[in-house]
Amino acid sequence: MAEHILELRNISKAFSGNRVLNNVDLIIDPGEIVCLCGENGSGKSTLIKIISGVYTFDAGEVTINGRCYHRLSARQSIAEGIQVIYQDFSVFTNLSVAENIAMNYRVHNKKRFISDRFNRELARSALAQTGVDLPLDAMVEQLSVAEKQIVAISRAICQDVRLIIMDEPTTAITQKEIEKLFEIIRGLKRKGIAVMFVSHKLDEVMAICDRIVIIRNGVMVVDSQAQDFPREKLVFFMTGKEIEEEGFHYAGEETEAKPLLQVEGLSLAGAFTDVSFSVRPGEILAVTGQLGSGRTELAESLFGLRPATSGTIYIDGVETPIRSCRDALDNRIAYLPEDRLSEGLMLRRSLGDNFSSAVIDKLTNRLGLVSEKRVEELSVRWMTDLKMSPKHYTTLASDFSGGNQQRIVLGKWLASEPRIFVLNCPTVGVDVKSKSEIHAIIRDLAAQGLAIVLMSDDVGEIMASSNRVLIMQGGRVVFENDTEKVSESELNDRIIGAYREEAVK
Amino acid sequence: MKTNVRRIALKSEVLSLLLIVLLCIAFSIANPAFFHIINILDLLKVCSYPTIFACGVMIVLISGGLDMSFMWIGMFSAYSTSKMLSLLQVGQGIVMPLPVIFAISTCIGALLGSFNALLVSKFRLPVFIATLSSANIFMGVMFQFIGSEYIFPAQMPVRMIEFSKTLLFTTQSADGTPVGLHASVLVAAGVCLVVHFIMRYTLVGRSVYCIGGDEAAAERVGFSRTRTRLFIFMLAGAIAGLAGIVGVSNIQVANPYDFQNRELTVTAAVVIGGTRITGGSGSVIGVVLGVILTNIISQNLVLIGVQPEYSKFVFGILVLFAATVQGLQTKLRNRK
Repeated sequence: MAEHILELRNISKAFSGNRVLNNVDLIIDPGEIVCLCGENGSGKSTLIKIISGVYTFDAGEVTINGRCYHRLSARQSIAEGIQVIYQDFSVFTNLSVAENIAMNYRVHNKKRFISDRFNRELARSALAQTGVDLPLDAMVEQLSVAEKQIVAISRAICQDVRLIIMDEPTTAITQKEIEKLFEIIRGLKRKGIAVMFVSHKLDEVMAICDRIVIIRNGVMVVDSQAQDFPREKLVFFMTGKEIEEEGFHYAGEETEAKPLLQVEGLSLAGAFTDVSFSVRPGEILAVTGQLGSGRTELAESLFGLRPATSGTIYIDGVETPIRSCRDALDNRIAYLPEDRLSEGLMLRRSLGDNFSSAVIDKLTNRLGLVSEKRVEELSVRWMTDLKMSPKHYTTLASDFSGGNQQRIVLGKWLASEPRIFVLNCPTVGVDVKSKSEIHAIIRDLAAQGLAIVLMSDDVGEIMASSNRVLIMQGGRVVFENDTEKVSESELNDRIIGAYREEAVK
Repeated sequence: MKTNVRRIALKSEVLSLLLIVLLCIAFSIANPAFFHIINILDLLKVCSYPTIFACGVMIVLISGGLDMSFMWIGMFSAYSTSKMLSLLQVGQGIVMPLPVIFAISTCIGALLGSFNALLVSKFRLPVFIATLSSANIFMGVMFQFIGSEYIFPAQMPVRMIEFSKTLLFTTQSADGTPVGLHASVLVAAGVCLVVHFIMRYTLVGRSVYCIGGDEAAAERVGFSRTRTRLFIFMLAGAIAGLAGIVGVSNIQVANPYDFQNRELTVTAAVVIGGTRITGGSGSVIGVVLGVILTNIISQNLVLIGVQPEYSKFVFGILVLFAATVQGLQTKLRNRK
């Protein structure tokens, strides 16, 4: 136990003159669970890539299992027992569970010929260590996200692994699955395997980690035992600023404005049943619930992506069927999808192309052709309104950071001047500072009289930016109340409490 | 039991097998001679070299790319081998043994394949574009520097002509002509076995599936993108070279225009056989079934007197049908 698994000393790294890491020290001992936090662009992914040997470091030294390296290759890192589980798991969906689990082992032990029996035995023993039973012959594409994660973990422990690095392991799985994951990790810890988490969701990780390491602008600012860590200071440590959210207050309570959007008995077969609610102009209605509760499907129904099978939607008191996105746009409904990269943003197109895409038919000159000048005007306007770092309107969307990309998607829809805005998890994968700025934008939109439906699984976000909250479970609305009348912990308990009832059943 | 039936029914190879059975029944009703041994042996001979080509196409397709150059690799290798050996034979009286002839053509194919690998790995071109351009380059080089004239049976290497007449397990038919299994069928079977073994039981074979499934993940596991691509295209090229020389031997004439515009028929057979067009999945068994299926159709429609134009129409409908059912199978398989 005396020996450290990993010891980084004075690690520095620069990309084309930009210092990304500056004299970083880090020690990880056997069986330790360390959480690495930091904003987007803080240098944490660079640090992971240095440990896994994908990037070389400019200065400093890495000691693994007592051996000192001044250069570390990916192969050496793996041979020393370091395994990275990427956010996308990097599993082969077209191969079987057994083959996926055995693949790493075979590549690194140069097993040139394959025997199915060997694969299955290796996979069986690795799965036994995680305590999860998966069908060995099933194709990985048939598995759920959480099961794919198990495959990735099993693949990592097939080797003689000493340190597992997990990149954002909890973002895509449900509460129940997170608990299962933590159980597996505790099992690994007992075997002396160290785990390093990279996570934005500190609340979850606090339950399991021994140590917290925070990195900001390439410098390690916190390295503390978990129990000594002042939790409320997290945002300060990550951003270097005190960020305080003002909270949202709905002004129209007394005026009794008519609902702008009203939904009655809305159902979509296999997704949600009998959902009713109404949103007045200036209101922010938060809809929450665990993965699979039907909230994403509800959002997509409101925008016509997956039209509801029964029930009615009233807009301004008039019954309005929404059968397609076209219907939704005609009624000035906008939708910010959950996955901005694949559904909301054209990464390889310019800022101007993105901003103008929803309103391109209005930006024409006298000949009916698209006016480049008007596209530029529009882009400049939204860049200012959304407080983005100013760049030329022809800059590619891929050149912006996560927070700014989310703003581009917001701006694209705001350009269409919606009256109703459905937002699906607008701040997932966005750093703390951008997050509070996006919240401010949402509150501001409500103040301008938009009716906003905010799908979210972030309780803090709901508390700060909604006046009413609705919890869904198994496709039904199980709770509705004014946000002010619910405490943060009650809301948390209700979301998880709902899950416990489900488990008893 | 029920889940077993379900699992088997959803295997992509089962579809081709089912279609073959149905077609055989239909054709045997329309044409009583369908099941005659001569007809079947002839079918196997006709399928032989397209099956070899198809194996190479399958390997590239599994890695996630559509190969457009294999027919020209095959023709280039076979034509230059035939021409070279024909000159030696006519000029010096040197007669090369058959294995050497096949080996030369195979090596030329592998060399041309490595050119494809260079285009895809170093210049990062999509496989479709890279092989489309290399196909034209190969064609141009061949016509300009090697030749474009026919080589007739009289000048062809003797061993190739002998090979085209070799029948195995011969018996006499009713009218006294010998009937047997054509030697090229044996070569095709050998290639199928070797490719099946490589793709199923070796690490390098499985790496092709990995690259086709998720290229980034394959690199993270430790496969080298460049080396795997080199393997894929050299193997596919070698197979095309061998297919070419077997095809030219069967026809007994080296006609440089012979394989023109046949890429898509072979590719269609590979896809009908269950190789996923997006990569990552496919098997030799499926490919063999696919080739047999397409050849049963094109051969027998003519035999029962369907106009060639209509047989193209039927062929198109069949490809459409097979692709649709395949998509449906994938969907059902992924639904739990």
